[in-house]
Amino acid sequence: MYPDTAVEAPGLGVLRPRPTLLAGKFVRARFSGIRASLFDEMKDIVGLSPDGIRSAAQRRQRRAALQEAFKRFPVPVIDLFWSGDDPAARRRRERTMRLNHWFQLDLSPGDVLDAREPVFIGEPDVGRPAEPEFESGRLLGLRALSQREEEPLRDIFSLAHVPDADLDDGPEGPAGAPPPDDDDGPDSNGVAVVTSEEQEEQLAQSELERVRPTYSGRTATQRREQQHVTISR
Amino acid sequence: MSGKLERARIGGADVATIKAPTAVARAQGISGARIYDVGQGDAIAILNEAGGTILQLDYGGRQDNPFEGKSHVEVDQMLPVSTDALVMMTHWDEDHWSTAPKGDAAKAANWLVPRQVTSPRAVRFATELAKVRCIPEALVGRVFEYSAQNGDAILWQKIAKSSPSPSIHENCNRTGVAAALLRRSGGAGQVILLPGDAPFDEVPLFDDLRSAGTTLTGLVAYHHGSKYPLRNGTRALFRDWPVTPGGPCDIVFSYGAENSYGHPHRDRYDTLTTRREVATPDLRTTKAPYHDILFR
Repeated sequence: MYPDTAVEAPGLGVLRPRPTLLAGKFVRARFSGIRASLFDEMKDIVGLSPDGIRSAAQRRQRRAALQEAFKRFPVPVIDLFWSGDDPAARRRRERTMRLNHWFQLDLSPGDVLDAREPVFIGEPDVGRPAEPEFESGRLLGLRALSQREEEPLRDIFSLAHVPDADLDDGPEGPAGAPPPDDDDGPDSNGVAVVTSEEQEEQLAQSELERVRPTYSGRTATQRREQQHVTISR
Repeated sequence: MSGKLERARIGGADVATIKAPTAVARAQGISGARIYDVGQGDAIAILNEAGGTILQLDYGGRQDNPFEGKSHVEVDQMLPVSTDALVMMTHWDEDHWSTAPKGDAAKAANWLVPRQVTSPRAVRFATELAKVRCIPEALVGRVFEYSAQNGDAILWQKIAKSSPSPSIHENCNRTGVAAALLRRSGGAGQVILLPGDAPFDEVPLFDDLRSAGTTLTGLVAYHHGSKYPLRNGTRALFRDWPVTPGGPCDIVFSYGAENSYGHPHRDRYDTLTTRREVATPDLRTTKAPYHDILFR
């Protein structure tokens, strides 16, 4: 919720076209993910591991499968903007956004100048294949996924393929200070809900860069009219 | 303090390729930390007595970073990492690793990272690292020490456990790694604090160091100068922490100019009465690619 002086999405340059909404206060949430229509295919390539990944061979296999999948499927970033001045926008945001969850986003491509909740999608990393549908659009819907819906996403998009380091204790045995109490636990509903400036700041950063944009399988000529569906966390 | 800080070493077949502790052990001493101007984000080199990098802490930079349009070779020159280096990541926010894919050297290095719930883009990046290992969750809270020959040390700690459940929000700023550099000379020694994005008062290691009677030579402001969480723990921590004689305490704010988060909030540090504030965007105006915090 900061006045806009130079809105930039890293690697994407100064936003063009520039939505009217960004002339005032705004909140940005940044996500990343994979198109939902491609996720089943990715799941087939990588393979779920409901019992966990424990052996070195399993880790190697998972890493190779992820590498293959990431070659085929882009992982774009999505910047979603809300008005910081509009109480209705704030209510919508607070009702929906839950930190550390995956979301389904319905997106419509096209003009964003007067969009209530404009969205920009792209693949900013140097050396990556260009995201073919890099474009601007507007948010049609945002839904937090259920835990059951999240499970395969958390399984695939994890660091399970990375082995633990062997940090030997040495001759003195374990010591050191205990970890602090975690004061970021769930609220009474069991989830963290965006209610503070701090959380809005977090939204704008990469804690939430876990979007899974989904597009219907229509042809390129139909694409401008199609509705985009995104899933994120 | 020695009773609380555990000496640890890296060993075992699974991490046989992690060489940086050897580089630290080979160093005569640790001269300090080099904070690069990377725009919004962090990239910090730990320096030996000759100014060479013996460990790299984070390799990020997003908004207003100086790497746009640069070649792989240029990026490697701007943020140099040797082939036997260890890159440690404080946490998986993209502004702490996002420059690594733009070059070649960092990707070829050994990485030691926290195990956290993270983003698809971070997972993709992790698959591109040939030599990456996670800090075991069983060792959360423990302080590790890598010492140079004169006793100077890099101390680090993963400060909290990753989320055990999808229903519990994990703020990776507060489950990552925080580090400190320690020079054991003159009383209890002097320290340079490198918290990543963790508030200073949430790092038990820092509290131990203050309690041990160390003096403060410099620090990097946590989370690019963020003011959150809105409480006075950090201000209280520094209120009674004496500054190392011979100069002010260096406070480096590493952020991108005109970032949309409102960073930095310098008032978090106003209880440090003897301080010198350095903002990385100001370095660029003087064409300085980094600022060094050096022991006295």
